Amino acid sequence: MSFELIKSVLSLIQNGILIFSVTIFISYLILAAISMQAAIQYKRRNQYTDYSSILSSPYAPSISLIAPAYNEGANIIDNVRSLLSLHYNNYQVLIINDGSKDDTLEKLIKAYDLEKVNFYVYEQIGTKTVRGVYKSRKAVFHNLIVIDKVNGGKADALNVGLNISSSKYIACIDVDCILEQDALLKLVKPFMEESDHKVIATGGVIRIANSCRVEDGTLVEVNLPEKFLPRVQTLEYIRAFLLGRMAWAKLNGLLLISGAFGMFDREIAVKAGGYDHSTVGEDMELVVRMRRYMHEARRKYVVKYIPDPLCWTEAPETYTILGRQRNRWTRGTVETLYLHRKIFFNPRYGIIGMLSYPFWFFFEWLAPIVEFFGIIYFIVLALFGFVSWVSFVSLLIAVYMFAVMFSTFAILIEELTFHQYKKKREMFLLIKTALMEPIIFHPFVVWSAIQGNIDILKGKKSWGEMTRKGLSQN
Amino acid sequence: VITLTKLIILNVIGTAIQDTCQQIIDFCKAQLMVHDILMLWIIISLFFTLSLIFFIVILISRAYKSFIANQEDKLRKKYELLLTSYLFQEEDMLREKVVEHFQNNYFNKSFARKVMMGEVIRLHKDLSGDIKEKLKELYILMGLKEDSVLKLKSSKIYVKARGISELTQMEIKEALPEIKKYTDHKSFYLRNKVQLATVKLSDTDNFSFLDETSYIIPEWQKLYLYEMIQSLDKESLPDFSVWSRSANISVVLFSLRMLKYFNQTEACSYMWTLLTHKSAEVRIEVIRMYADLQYFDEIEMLKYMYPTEKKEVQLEIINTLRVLGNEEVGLYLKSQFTIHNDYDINLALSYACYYLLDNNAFGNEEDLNLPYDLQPYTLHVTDPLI
Repeated sequence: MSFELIKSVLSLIQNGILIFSVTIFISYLILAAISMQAAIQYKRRNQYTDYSSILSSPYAPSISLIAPAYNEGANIIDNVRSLLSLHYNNYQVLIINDGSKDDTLEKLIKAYDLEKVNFYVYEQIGTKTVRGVYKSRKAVFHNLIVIDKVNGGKADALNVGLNISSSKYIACIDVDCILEQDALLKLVKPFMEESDHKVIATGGVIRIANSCRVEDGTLVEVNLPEKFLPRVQTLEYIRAFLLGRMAWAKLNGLLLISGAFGMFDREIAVKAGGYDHSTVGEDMELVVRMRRYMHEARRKYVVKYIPDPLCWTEAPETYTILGRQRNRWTRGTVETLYLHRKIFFNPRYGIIGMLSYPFWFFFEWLAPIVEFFGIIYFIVLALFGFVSWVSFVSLLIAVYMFAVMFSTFAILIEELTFHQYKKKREMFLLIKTALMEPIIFHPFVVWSAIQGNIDILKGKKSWGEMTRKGLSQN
Repeated sequence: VITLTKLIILNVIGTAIQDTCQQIIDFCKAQLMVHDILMLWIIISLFFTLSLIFFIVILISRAYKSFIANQEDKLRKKYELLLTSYLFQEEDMLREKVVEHFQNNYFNKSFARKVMMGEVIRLHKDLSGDIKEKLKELYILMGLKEDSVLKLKSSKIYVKARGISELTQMEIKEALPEIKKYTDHKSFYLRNKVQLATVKLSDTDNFSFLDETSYIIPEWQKLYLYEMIQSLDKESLPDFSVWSRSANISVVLFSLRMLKYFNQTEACSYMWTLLTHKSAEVRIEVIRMYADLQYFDEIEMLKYMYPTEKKEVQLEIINTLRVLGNEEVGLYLKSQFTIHNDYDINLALSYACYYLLDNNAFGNEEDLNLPYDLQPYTLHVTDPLI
């Protein structure tokens, strides 16, 4: 009797893990196939697009570029200069100094000849106190607005930007990111192109800028990161953006637009309530809330995504910083999923209720937990000598080969579409990284996710310090 | 006896545990049978083979790209020389020789034709005057026109669209009837190309697509159309008000912008009918047109419709009244402050009042005399840096 019970439990666990894993693999393959089709279609459609028409057009819609800055004194001047030199004729740059403890504001005032103005800030969305709004005395910087506010976190700073902006669209960006010069042109295009549905948000591909050559806040040479950790993240980003989000956008089920760079319809973002400052995953939370708002208002809408590399960011180079980042990402995911639990398998929310949310729930949040407990379960079985080593090794190799195959496919898609890493050595390095990732990097990511889950149970809310070297030093 | 009983019980329990454990081990080990493991290794081999194939494709793709780029570079350099000698050669005989040389030496390969096509199109875009004509002549002489027409007949949308783009760029007017067959095609990508071709290649009815399209013209496409229209002879432009009655709202919006853009002021007098249009976008565009064309006759109508309008239309009315305003309008706008408690409206009203003050619609700032609680707005709009 007892044996039958144990047998049933073991059978349940083992078959459960097996089915779960196979489902993940199959869903990844399906998403990859959809992504490939979408990327090829995008390339064909935009191969001969001439962006110069919008560059000089009086009908180009207005865009506010909102960049929160906290203790960014070291690179803020270069970063702002880079943002002011983008190719677009109707945009303003809003730098939100989120109560920096360093000389960020002083440096900006001095470099851009800023003066406090009588800007009447209307609080459509509640935020921490705005201490002052600054504009430049120099006409050449007429599109720069600097806002000084009491520290309230990234989401709070972005909400101040939403309150101050009067543009049709807002582009939210991490101030230390480097944008391609035509990033705004490319990101605004889907908003202007779609005619049947309202486009509420657009995201672009984020790439890793470590080891790239940056001059005066502008990316002048793309290089694959020399160090393993940023390099493996490069591969991870290629996979996530080219083989994941592209497919979700095609299915109109995209739930996340990276906080590093995304564009939103300002009116909808404000009506949905702006960024939620109670979560550390404010980027994902806003997209989900905007989608819910549109669904509940029964309006036809889409969230678009373009595969062009538009934004370059610095990836963590140490395990400590990377761990904090992944920990925060996990907490952000859990918080967002919990806040919007109403849409879980709720047919009223269409594809996001029936597909996107469950995917995030099972494969983004639950997968690392299943994997972690799977490892513990395996260790227990091994200790008691219950393991069939032939089976174990075979399974391990199968999983490893799948990971390598999937990464190689991502590199292939990158090669056929955007071909950013042109040197032969870089391609071999990427392949080598794909071989090493499942052994070295992946276990660490799983462990960080577990820590994130533990931290959320403990009620941790902070971002965790994210020290960065600064791209201008590359 | 007791000890013996204990030993027997322990032995029985121990044996039971041992048996259970052995059964679990057997069970666990049997979870993957021999044929399952074989299956697993087949899957592993499949993943491995796929990885290897992807890797080889990456290598081939790299080699191919670099080979193509080299070939293109070489051909481009040769073509540049030949094109220069053709374009700047005065005598027909010599030009013919250049064409002959082209055809004999480079023109039997599709890749070479593709590169040549790219070069001719690029130069035609960048250059102007007689040289453009000569490029067109060369395009026809070398049979590149036939290549474009073949693309137009392709079953693939993107190839078809490419053909239309080439024929449009090279101004091949006789291709227009064939191109216009796709005016109302379900692919927006193709439709957009046809619209641009119609504007550029038609002699008389450049805007016939506005009558024929049943689809929305996206904002992005309108930018291209505006740019294309700018190159047309202003005298030959039609009266855009004809399309202001279209059932297609995007066509109405386009026509209103064109009226404004080309100063077709005479249409303003009968555009008031659109002030009651069901689309707020259309109403906004008409009101904006009044401001841009300085049309004063509908001020009373705008004041009449203001109280019942949507916020975005109200904002446009305020902006238009600001531009067209006089003292009476100023007083009207001032009176609206008490009615609204909306940030955007109040800010627009403040802007309007101070604009009118600067333009002498009010006597002085004391005459304007806005209530104290509006001070944040007044400080905002009077700040010279904002």
